[in-house]
Amino acid sequence: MDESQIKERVEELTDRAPRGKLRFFSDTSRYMDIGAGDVIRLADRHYFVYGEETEGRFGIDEQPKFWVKRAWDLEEGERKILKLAFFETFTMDVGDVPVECFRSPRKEARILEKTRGDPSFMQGITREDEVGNVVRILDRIRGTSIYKRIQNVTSDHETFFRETFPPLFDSLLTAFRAIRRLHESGEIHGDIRNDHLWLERETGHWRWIDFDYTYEWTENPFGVDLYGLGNILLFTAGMGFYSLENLAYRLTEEHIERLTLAEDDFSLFFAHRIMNLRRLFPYVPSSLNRVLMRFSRKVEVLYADLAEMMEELDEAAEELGVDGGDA
Amino acid sequence: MAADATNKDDRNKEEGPEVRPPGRPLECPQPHKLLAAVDESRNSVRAVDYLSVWAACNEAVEVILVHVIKEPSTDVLPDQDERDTYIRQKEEAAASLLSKMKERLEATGVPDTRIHTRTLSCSPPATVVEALLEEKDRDEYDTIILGRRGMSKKEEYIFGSVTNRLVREMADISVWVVA
Repeated sequence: MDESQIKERVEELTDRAPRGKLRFFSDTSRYMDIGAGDVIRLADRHYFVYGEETEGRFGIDEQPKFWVKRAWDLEEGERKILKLAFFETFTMDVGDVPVECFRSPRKEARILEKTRGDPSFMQGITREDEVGNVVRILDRIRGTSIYKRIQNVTSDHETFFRETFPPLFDSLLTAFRAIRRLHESGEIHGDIRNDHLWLERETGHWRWIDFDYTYEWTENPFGVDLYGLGNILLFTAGMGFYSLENLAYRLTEEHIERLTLAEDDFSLFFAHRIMNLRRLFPYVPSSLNRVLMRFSRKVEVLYADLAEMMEELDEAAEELGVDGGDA
Repeated sequence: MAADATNKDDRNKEEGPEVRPPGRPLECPQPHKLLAAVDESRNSVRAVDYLSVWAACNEAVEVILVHVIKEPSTDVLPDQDERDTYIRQKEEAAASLLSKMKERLEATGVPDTRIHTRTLSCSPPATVVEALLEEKDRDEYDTIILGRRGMSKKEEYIFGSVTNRLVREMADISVWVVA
C-alpha cells in the first residue's frame, strides 16, 4: 500500500481521512515518538495508530502505556493492540516480600505461541520489526475484568454468594486450569491479578492477559502465580477484600459486633487482610475456606504446585454444586 | 488384634527402603561419600564446620563440596554476551567459595586428598534441587549435607526452599540439615 492507498483505507475504516503527510515506522525502538496518526509497518502489514492503552487499575488515574498502541490493522480491517518491545526491571512487592521483576517481550511472544487457540488466553501473533524488536499484535478483548465484574455487584454478599458466585467459581476453575496447563508447559503467567482476567462479551470466555513479567527462576517458580490465584479467589468469593480498615463501611454494625477475629484469620502476605471468610460469612463452605486458609498466617503446609490447589478446589466445587470447569 | 499387627508390619515393609539385616559385622572404617551443597550463606559455613569435625576423625570419609550456579533465563538476560559474562563471574565466585570451604575443612585436619570440589549449573526450567538430584544419581553418595537458609513462610511460598524440597525429594540417602 502506498500513502494515498493507506489514507483511503483509513477513511474507509474510520470515516476520517488522515491529514498531512503520514509518518511510517519500521523500527519501533523509539516507541515514545510513535503516536496517533502514524503508521507502523511490520513485514507486509500496515498498522494505523490511533492511541495508546492506559493502565486503568483500581480507580487510580489512568497512566498511558506508551509502548502499547491501539491501531487499525489496515490489511485485515480490524482493531488491534500492538505491544512494542519495552524492557524494564523493577522490584515488585508480593505482600511485603520484595521480588525482582523483569519485563520480557520474548516470554510473552512464546506464551502467545503456546496458547494459540486456547480460549482461556488472549490471542495474537508476534512480528519482529526491521531491527529485531519483538512486537506482539493482539486481538482486542471486548468485555470486562473480574475486578470490574465484582465491583459492579450491587446485591448483598449472601445473595451474591448463593446466586452469582457458583457459576463464577466454575469459570474461575476453568481459568485456573488454564494456568496449570501453562505451568505444565514450563511457563508462568507472572502477573496474575484481578484486572488481568477478562470476560469476553461475545464468546463468554474468561481470558488471561499480559504475560510479559518474568523473574529469576527459583526453587518454586510457580509461587508468584499461586499467590495471585489465591488473591483472585479471595476477591471473588468475598465480593472484594476485607481488611481491618474497610470492615466498618463494608459490613453492618451488628455484623461487626458479632465478629471474632484471631491472628490466624489474616493473610500471610497482607497484615490486615482477612482470609478466613467463614468468620465473616458462615455460609461459605469449609472446603472453599480451607483453600483460602492456605494463604493465611495459619498455614503450615504450603501448596507445592497448582495441581495440589486444584485438588482442593475440586472438593469446593462439589460442595458448591458446580461441575468444576473442564475437570 | 494379631491380624492387625501383621498388616501393619506388611505396610511398613512396603513403604520403607530396603534395610540391611541386623547383626552383620561391619569392616571399619566404612567408606562414606558425603556431598556438601554450599552457597554463600552463613549456615553453609556452619554446615561445613559441623561436617569438618566428623570428617577429620573418620579417615574413610570423602567430602565433595558442590556449588550450583543458577544460570539466568534468556527471558531475564536475553543478550548472549551478557549471559556469558554473568556465568563467567558466577564460575569465578564459585571457585573462590569452594576453595574457602575446602580451606576450612583442611584447617580442622581433613586431608586435601579426601576433599573434592565440583561446580554444577542449572538453567531454567531446571532448579538447584534438580541439579543436586542429578548429581546424587551420577555418583554414589551416602549423605548430603546443607545449611538451612531460614526463610520465612511467605518467602518460601514465593521462592520455594531448597532444603524442604531436598528433604522431600531425596530418596535412599541421608540428608543432614544444619540450621
